[in-house]
Amino acid sequence: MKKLLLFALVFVATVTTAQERKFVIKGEMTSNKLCYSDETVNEVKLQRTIDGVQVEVATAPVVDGKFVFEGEAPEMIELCNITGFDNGSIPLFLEEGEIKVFPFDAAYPVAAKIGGSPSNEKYQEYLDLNNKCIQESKVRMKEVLANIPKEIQGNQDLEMEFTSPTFYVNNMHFKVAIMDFVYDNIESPVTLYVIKYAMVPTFNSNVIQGFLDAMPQELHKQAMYRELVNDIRSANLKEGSAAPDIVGRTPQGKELALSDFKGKYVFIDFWASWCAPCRREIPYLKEALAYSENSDNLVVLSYSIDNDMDAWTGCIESNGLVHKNWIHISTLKGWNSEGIKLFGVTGVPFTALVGPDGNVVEFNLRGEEMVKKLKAIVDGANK
Amino acid sequence: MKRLLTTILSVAFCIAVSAQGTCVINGVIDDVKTADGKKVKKVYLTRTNEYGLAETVAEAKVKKGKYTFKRELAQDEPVLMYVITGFGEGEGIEVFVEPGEVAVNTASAATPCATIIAGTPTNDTYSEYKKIIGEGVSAAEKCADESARSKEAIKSLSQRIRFLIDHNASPMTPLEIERYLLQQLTPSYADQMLKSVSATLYDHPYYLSLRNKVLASALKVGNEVPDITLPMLGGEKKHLNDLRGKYVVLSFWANGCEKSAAVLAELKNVYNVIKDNDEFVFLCFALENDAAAWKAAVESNGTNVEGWLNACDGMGADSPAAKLFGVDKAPRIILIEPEGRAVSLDQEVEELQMRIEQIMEGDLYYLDQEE
Repeated sequence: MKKLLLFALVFVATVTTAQERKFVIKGEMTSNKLCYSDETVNEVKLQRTIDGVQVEVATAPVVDGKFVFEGEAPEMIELCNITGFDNGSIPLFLEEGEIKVFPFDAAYPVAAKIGGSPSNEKYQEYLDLNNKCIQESKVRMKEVLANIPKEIQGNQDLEMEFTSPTFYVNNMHFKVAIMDFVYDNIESPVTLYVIKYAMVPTFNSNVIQGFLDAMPQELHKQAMYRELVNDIRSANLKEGSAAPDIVGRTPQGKELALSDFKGKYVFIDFWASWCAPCRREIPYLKEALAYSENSDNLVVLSYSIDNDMDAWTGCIESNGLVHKNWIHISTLKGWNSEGIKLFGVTGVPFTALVGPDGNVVEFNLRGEEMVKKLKAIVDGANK
Repeated sequence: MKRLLTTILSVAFCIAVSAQGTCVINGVIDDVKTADGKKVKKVYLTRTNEYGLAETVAEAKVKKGKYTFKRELAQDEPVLMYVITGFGEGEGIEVFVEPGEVAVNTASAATPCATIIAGTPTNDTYSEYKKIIGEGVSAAEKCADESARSKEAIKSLSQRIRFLIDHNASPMTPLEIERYLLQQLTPSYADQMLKSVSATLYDHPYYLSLRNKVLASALKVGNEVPDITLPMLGGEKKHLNDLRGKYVVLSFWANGCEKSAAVLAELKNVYNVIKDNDEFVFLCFALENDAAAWKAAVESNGTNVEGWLNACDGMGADSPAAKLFGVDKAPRIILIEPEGRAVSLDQEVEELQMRIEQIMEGDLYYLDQEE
């Protein structure tokens, strides 16, 4: 009997966990007609961002103007889109729970109201705040227009001079309202997105760092939190400062990040198979790596900005760029690779030596000088 | 008869000139003991000049804890911040000098920054603003940890910005944007903040100074360059913006620097070719402390010639003009087009010659460089 009860309890617990991890999106249209044609929407798609690429992960039929998506919820909130319209898409936060897309016109999907789950409710509050600011801006501008001094009325240049500050006052009022939203919702993961898209363009990285410092610990695991930390590190990057984290996949498809090697020295080599000066560095890299044969305190992280998988892996193979301490990663996005943006790389080869603490030791070591430095690091460990 | 009319008019004008009025500052200090135990016997009215240096403009005796300053304000005199000093190193009371009576009440000379100021519009506005700062400070003091303090800092920053944009016609606003806010904003929002200032302040020194700082932070080829003050060889004072309408070859140089002398000599060859073309102005800005040494160097460099302007603010390497142009090393040659935008910010003489030739031929290549 006791055993049975225990079994039953475990069973219930399992089911509950599985339920908690699920998301359901229920949507309804008031009209399923497209904006630019007479055709109707018969199916919609759920688009998620995977490895920085937008991918349609599911399709749902539209029946009587209604559609449903179901699936396993991501561990952290994720901004995704419902597509299948000809006039934009519906942005929403994917998270566990039931997400409602309130009845909307398929011709204007962007205007759809979202609710149901905490983050989507919060995002709706943010959108409402935007609308409130727009209304207040209109009132402010109306007042100024009504008070144009008689002596400049009709003179367009002077009228412009008189009214234009109000335009910028309105912009700044909007920013201030968003700051108050950040203050009031510092524990919501949605605030991370608000900071990224509304505050980062406005304030320098010290202020943004202050926003992050005010956030509770449990938000630190959110992808957007890490992205913001990375952006700040990137903005302040210099020798001695914390290196931004860079992520890529190995030729075997395994995801690896710079931060996975914390505790070791990492020599990051930004390169590409088509780059002759990069290939000229190969003998030096091999020399340094051969020297590290018996130690494990150093890795060479070669971050390729190739676009083409075969060109990349082919170059690794034909040149024998293989060693137990040699890691190859790439996102195969060429000059759009996140890694080179974060490190401000404008030309390859470019290198960065990162210390065991994750701080940059030195930029752009190459050739003999690089070999000397890496050998010294290996020696330091073997002493 | 005509003379009489002129006299009447000028008398009327004189009255108009002084019509802005007088600023009377009535100070009260309850406890005249300063932080280091001395009694305040005299206080000084000081202001910061355009080079960031403090100048004392008046002094007053403190009798029975009271003192008074009186300042006549000329018609065009802008409302500026002065500091009442005499409370010890680094201590002072910020007060705006403007027509009217200002009551300055200091509880203790040991903490002059806690002084309460009231009576005139700008001082009243500034007092309100300082109250917001004070609220932010006390909210931070109540916080249990760093995270909570960071959160209160968000509130304080938003309150301060809200106050500044809600008081965008007050002279304190551009001053405070420059002193406090600029370092928190990205260049594009520094520009938005500048543009939020009321048009009534467009001629005010604080607005112009802020505008210069914003231009300096966005300095690049194709952008408008900051305006700099040019104390000239002849003693008069010009501004870079006075030269609008012409191409300006601005060169910063340092006295006693061999490379500067060599570059000036090369520059003179360029000048000789185009000296008859009045589309171009050559302007030399010396980073020198000593006026006599500067004048002697101008002679020996041979740049004291007609059509060549020589300026120096006597601040040496600390010259605000050099800072606004981001000049950390002399010599530096900058080419500015007639509308005040930078064509190049660091130009070799040889290249400069080529560019000038291009411009003279009507090839305005630099217009395509804007991004």
